[in-house]
Amino acid sequence: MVVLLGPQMILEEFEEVDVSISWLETPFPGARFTIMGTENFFVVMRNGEVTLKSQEYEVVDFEGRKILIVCGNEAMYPEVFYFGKSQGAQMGVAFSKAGNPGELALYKAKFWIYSQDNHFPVLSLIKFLDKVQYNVYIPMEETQKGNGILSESTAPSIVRFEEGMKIPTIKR
Amino acid sequence: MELLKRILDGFLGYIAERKLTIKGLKYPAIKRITTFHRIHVCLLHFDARIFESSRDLLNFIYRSIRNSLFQIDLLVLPPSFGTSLLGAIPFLNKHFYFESGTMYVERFQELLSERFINMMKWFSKELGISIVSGGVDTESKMTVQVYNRGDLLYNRDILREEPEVMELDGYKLVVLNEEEAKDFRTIRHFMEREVYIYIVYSKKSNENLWEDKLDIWARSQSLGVYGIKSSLSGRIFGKVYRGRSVITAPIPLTPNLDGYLARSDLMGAAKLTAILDISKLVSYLKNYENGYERYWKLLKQRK
Repeated sequence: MVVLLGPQMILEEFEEVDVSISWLETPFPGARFTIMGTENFFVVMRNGEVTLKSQEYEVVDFEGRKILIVCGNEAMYPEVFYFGKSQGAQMGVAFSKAGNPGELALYKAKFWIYSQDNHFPVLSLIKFLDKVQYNVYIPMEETQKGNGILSESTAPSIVRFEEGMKIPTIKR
Repeated sequence: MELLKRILDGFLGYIAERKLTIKGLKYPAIKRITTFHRIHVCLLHFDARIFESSRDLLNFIYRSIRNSLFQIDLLVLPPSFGTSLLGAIPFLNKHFYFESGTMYVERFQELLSERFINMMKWFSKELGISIVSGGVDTESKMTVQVYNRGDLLYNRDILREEPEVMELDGYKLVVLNEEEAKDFRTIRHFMEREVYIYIVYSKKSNENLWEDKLDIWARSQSLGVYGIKSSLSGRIFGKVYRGRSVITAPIPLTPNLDGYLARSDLMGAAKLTAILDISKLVSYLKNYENGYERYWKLLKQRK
């Protein structure tokens, strides 16, 4: 499963993107699925058609791969990620907005923790000072440095998940 | 042979008892500054070592804290701290550093535990503070005791017994082991009873700082609580421990925005001090964690 995290870029690899995840932007035409959101709501689109809107959290089935999507306050609670995992989610996607550096660090820490606690990747989009930070956290034993951080950046990236959503590789 | 062993133990015990008396000890009373809802914590982190008498042990603690004693409410001492009293048993004290030490601690467990508890009760009364300390342990045990101005409030093997809420001077705390601290549900359960301070005792060596973050640091961030983690360091019973002691808080409440109010290194001694401001934490929880109750109720119903 290939995930584009961030806005669309012109690169030939993008033709094989399965899910595109971004802060409210123009949908990426190459992806079969698109998840777009803000701190207040998110939408899921399939081939350009909106299939789901929510203001809380949902576990969405993307052709056999379940993804937990959560925004705003709900993204702050460990219970929500725990529910997602118990409903079979293999990955988490979170949208939130930070008002100051302390909040930004707190939200990043929380998503890192939810990834370690539930043992699944968490892709977070945090808006701070008009920029969106794209962070990819995975269980720490699967990272080379043993820190569970695959990527933290304001630039878009492509995450390629192997079979069973394990050991992703990343490309920018 | 058995009789000879008993006679020898009795003799050694008699000498140790004399060394473990608190008679004649005196520490100057210091006028303490106490502020409502602000708890001054002092955590001592040092390599495991032996003490040859109660005077030796208490002087060591007193010397370490006397400069800040006027503002300490809660003193936290390392895991298995009481085991250091094996040093009072003549000829056997060096076994503390070797595997054979476990056997001798078991043999003198009753004497050492009783003396250690009496000593710490007296010390907490003398200084007028609360003390949390590791007890007299063998390798497979981890006892923790809580003393408050002369009273023993809690004495449990935290690896086997359930955690319990303790009420000290206007605040509550819970002592957990590392595994319990890794489960957010354990702490959420106690947060319902307005417990905001969690003390974790650990005997694990975590050289990777990130792995070290998975227990109480993670809970401070994901739930919004204060955490105090005291880890074993140094050589004891033939094993070398390299633990890190920390005082944690939610990131926005820490000056460096890293979630730590204080942190020790893996090696060497450190005195960690911090102020745990409960009213500040409660307003943080209102701002950042308001609304979790709905999901927590749902989670409990599912059980």
